[in-house]
Amino acid sequence: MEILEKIKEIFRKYFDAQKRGDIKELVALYRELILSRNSLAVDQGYKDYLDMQIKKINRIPEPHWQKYLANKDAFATKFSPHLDSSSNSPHFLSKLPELKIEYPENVFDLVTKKYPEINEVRNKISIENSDKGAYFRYSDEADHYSIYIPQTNFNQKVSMLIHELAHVISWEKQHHRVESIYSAEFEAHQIEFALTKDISNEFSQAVFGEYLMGQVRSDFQIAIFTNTTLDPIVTYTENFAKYIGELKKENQTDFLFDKKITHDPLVDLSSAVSIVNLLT
Amino acid sequence: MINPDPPKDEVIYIDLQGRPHDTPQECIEANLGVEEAGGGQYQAGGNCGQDPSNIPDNKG
Repeated sequence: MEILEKIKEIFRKYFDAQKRGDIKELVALYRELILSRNSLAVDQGYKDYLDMQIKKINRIPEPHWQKYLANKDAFATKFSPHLDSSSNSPHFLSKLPELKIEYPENVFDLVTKKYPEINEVRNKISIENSDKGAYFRYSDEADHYSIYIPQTNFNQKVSMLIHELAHVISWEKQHHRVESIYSAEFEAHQIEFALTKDISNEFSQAVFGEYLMGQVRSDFQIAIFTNTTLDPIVTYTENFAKYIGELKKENQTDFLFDKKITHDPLVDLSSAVSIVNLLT
Repeated sequence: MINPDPPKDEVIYIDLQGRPHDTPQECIEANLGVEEAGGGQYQAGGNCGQDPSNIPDNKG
């Protein structure tokens, strides 16, 4: 496909500009990337890249998408004022005192209390280290779950394990068949939020806080894919301010180095939509 | 801020969603992931540099 060759070429130039730290060129190339990804989606019969992500990749039901659009701004004001965020380092769980629990045993205990079905698969779950975020894999052949958790601060590890175990519960309930990325994320967040409330309200609020960057990334890219004339730096800064707070000038171009934006556009979309719809 | 983790070489593989990968395997797996989550059939594609004989015929 010609457009994929074009995207490859843009990335070659992009990586080169990243090495040189050439912000002006990065912004120009980022705009080209947005236009090319929109063309890729149009070639496949979608209005733009966002439309393709909603309908083909994440399969977000229209009423859920509309509910999210109607409520995301209210969500931003509902949660950010209650959270102690520092402008360019929006981490919340690491600011709380470390939970006094055994990891992972007590996390399993907590989950079992509310979702006893996890016990039926407990001996089929192993927990491994990850170097690229938290995720799980299920092997049909081995009938085994591998949960990958990065080496990060303790509270975050607990929160991530709860989220991945929520996926396991949902996966079992749906008989190892995922209806869509969106439905999987929606159900996992629903279970996760019910569990984190049981730890403490403070912990639960901090978990919401950890997901605010996903809201920023998603809302920013929704804007930029649907209106390609927008200035990316201004739009990113505005979205960061909406959910988290004022972004220092030196951090306003951080998104140009954020792989969740450059490499995996809209990767947080299902999660962002689920969270807004569950909490508003 | 300089990219702390630039790709190791100049070869970039682009999957069906226009996302870059360092290796053909990652690229193919990314395409598989979409198809699995979408519940559809596996589609060979993207610019993954794959050998057609290595394309899996089922999703496992």
